[in-house]
Amino acid sequence: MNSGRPPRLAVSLLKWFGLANDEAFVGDLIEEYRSGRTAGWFWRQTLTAIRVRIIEAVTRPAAAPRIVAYALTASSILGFLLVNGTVRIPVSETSVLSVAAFLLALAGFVYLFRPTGYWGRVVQRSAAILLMNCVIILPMGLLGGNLGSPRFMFWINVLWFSSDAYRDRRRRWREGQPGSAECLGARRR
Amino acid sequence: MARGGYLGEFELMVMLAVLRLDGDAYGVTISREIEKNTRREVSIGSVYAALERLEEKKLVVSSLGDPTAERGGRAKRYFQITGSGLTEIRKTQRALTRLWTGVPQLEGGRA
Repeated sequence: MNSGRPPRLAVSLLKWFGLANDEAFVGDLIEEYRSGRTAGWFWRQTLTAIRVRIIEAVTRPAAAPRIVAYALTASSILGFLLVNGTVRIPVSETSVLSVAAFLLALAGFVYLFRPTGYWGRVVQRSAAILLMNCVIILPMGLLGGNLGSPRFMFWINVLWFSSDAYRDRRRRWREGQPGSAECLGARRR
Repeated sequence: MARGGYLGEFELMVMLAVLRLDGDAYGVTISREIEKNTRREVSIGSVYAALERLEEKKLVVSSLGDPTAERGGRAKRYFQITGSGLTEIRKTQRALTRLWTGVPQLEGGRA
């Protein structure tokens, strides 16, 4: 019988790869660990689960449209910036490329692995906000020559946050588990 | 519907384990059942990945139980086979049985 906590780094990895949002899966690992399995077993299970998750995320048909949509969005922004010379952005072409590459990588990471836990949620929200603002601001910048009206952007962000909070509450209510998205977060311990 | 109309090997094992466990099928018991009968270690993550796919195909359904202390306050997710899941298992069984019969090398219990 093993009453101790499972390896912390393994648990963090589970969070970062979005596997911690499945309360039952983590509960199963902990149940087995406490029934006498070793830390090595926990690590093996963690690494296998991550490997399976990566393969599932890449090969699953449902993931393809999402990946394509975000890749298209990021490449459209990049394309606009590079082709349309009238854009007034006070940064070099290299910086724009770096930002676009970063956004594409971030979007890919978030939508493939859906990190959970406190920092996972922070990354998810930040990526969504960054992408939304880029998708709205950049075309406005192209059309109007400036980076969008601050008042318009303020209300768009208010709308975005409200609908996001509403969806989150509704999901938790539907699952009947308040805070279930952070099921492995330190707050529940 | 399963890929190509039939269940994959691991998916079939998982579904049969769920059927055998009859009401007590969750990640740990399913993987133990497969391990016991196949004598090979099964990763709980693979079991969940298979169950997730099967749930998307509506071949299994799941429901959350109550959180328990030995699981760090986390609930169990119980799985059950649906009507179409049972049909799919029978279909795969019939197809495999047809392939199995009439093969001289496999008759007499020797490889």
